[in-house]
Amino acid sequence: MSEVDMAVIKPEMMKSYIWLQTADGSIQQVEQEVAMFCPMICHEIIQKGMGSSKNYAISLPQRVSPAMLSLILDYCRFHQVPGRSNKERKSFDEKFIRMDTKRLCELTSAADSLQLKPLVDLTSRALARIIEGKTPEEIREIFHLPDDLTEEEKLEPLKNTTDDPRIRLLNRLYAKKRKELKERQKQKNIEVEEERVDERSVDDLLSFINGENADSKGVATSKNKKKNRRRKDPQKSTSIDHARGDNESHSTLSETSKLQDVEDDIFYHKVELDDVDIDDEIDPALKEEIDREVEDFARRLNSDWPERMQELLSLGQEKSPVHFSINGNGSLRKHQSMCSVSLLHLSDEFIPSFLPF
Amino acid sequence: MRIEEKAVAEMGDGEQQKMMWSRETIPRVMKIVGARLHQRDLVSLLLVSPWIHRALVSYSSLWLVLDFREKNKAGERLIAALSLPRYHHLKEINLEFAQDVEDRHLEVLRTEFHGTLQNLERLNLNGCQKISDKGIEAITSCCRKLKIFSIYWNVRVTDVGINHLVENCKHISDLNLSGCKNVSDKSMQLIANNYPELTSLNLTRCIKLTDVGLQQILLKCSLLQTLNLYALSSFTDKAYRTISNLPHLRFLDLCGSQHLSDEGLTCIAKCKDLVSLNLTWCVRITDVGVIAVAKGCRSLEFLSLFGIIGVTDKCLEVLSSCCSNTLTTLDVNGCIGIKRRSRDELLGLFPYLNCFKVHS
Repeated sequence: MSEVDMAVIKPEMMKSYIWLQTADGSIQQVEQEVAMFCPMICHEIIQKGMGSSKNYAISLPQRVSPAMLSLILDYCRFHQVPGRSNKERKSFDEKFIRMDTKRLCELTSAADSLQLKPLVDLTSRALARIIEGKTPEEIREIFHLPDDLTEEEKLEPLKNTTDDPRIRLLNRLYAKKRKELKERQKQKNIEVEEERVDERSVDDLLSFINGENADSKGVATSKNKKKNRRRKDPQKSTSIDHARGDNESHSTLSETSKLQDVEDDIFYHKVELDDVDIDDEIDPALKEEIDREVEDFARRLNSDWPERMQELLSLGQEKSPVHFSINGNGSLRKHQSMCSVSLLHLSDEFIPSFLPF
Repeated sequence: MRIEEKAVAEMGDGEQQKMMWSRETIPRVMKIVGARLHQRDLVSLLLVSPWIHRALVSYSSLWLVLDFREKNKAGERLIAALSLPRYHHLKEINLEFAQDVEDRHLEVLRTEFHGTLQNLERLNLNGCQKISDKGIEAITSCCRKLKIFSIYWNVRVTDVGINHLVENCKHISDLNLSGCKNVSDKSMQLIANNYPELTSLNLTRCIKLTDVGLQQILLKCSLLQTLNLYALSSFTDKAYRTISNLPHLRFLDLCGSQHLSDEGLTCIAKCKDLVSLNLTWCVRITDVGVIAVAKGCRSLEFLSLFGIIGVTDKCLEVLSSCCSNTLTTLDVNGCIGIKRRSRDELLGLFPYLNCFKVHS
């Protein structure tokens, strides 16, 4: 029987339906009151008279896949019923958003395109809770985002107009890593992969700083510096190979090679400071991150020092570590916590001096 | 618990999909979510990918607040941040208890960032003790649309600084001078003459003030809703009486007003919209004053009678008959004249009480 026949026979069963078409071409019917809960669909129906039949199905934005549409309609179907209590609605919402992060993102995007603000609020609140307090690396993992900056771009040296020894240390690390990158690209062996994974924690450190500098004006200058440095590199390759041949834990591996290269980085450090572009800026909010991360990192390095010395000597390296330790320790001023000091003063202030007792 | 494996499987193959995801979907979603994130997390997001960076940086409504509370080198950080284009639509700068903020930093703001700060509405310099009148001159000259200004606990600010404020910023509605001990009646005159629409004023510990100065404020700033006179013991009824001139007053802090008498309090009771009244250490008050308040201020939610020995159970009875529906905070510690003031007895009189101690 056709739809029309059914309407004649059982008029009381005839509900209004709206036709919706998703980007993949599939068309479906949805109860009108449910679909109308979405402002975008509502607009299409009322302003443009669309959706009343299959041929005039409302084309939904590309971001609304059939799966997302189904979720959105579930949401609408529940909430468009007027009689529900706030408690019921809240309870439904809490259960509704229990889904994996990828879905949450797609749902946010889809709901946004349909202008369904309550659902956008719900999903974005959930996403905000997920993101809160996470590092950029963690965020990339959670949302399955590739590390879009090339390794090279991430290793641009920082400007160091104040001659901050911490930044000097970082720039040295970058120089060393740039060299390593070059070696990796030349050699391409399995150990390279493993070492890369291990150095993720240092990459965190670097990405903190470099995320901002990627767009800054100083990039051009830094690229020139990089070329200079590369020319000085070749003789390092053999010593790094030795270090990599070591079969101890991976952290040991990377640290050994770092220490060896630090000596050479001191050679370059004058170059870095001279080339500095004064117009560069670091996001000041990141400086605190830098403080902490450098401390952690340098502490990590310093703690392994006795074993490293042994290794270096046994591998026939005779470079003295003097420079590194001086700079390494000198740069580690503890980030003072001023909070307690200020609050102390506060409490003094609030004791009224005119107290009768 | 999230099902990450499922998500990975659904990702499907094809660089195409991955690119869509990281270059379009995620940046769009992060723009939406960004509005709910604190500065710290927003900056972390910027570092996640260039696509997110681009999407967020251009969305100026995410970058309306610079928060350097308790940070060190805050003056330098502020200058560095302001050189980033995304902070050129700032509405608020918060330097509360930040270290290393000096006049010269504010002067740099005036010379370098004059244009970019013109829409600033809220400035918090609480605890920035190195700032002097000079710094105030500098910052107010480039932030003329300032509405909320707070410079708590700064003894270098004088009437000169306040003069700069009133000359440059004509739209102040909320002013916090708590602890600015060197501010005198002259400043009160300047404020009274220039801010008839002031809604909130905090004069805690501005000990140089006298009745003369306070009266100026009370006579001309008739839209005041919040007035804080904590730890100001030199005022007398002469000024207190004039508080009745503030019909919109909701929050009044008179902690330490040792000269306030029942007569003055009875005048204050004419502010019928009072919601919060702090009479801690107002040692001359008796039942008479409190009863006047009970009868006049029927929306009272917060009342402290801490340390007043002249009040008895009588005033609590009247208070109960007038304000038991609204009162949620009542501090009668040290009120030895009140015999029945155990927690249960108080709850009997005021069923909605949830806080029994204000002053410590």
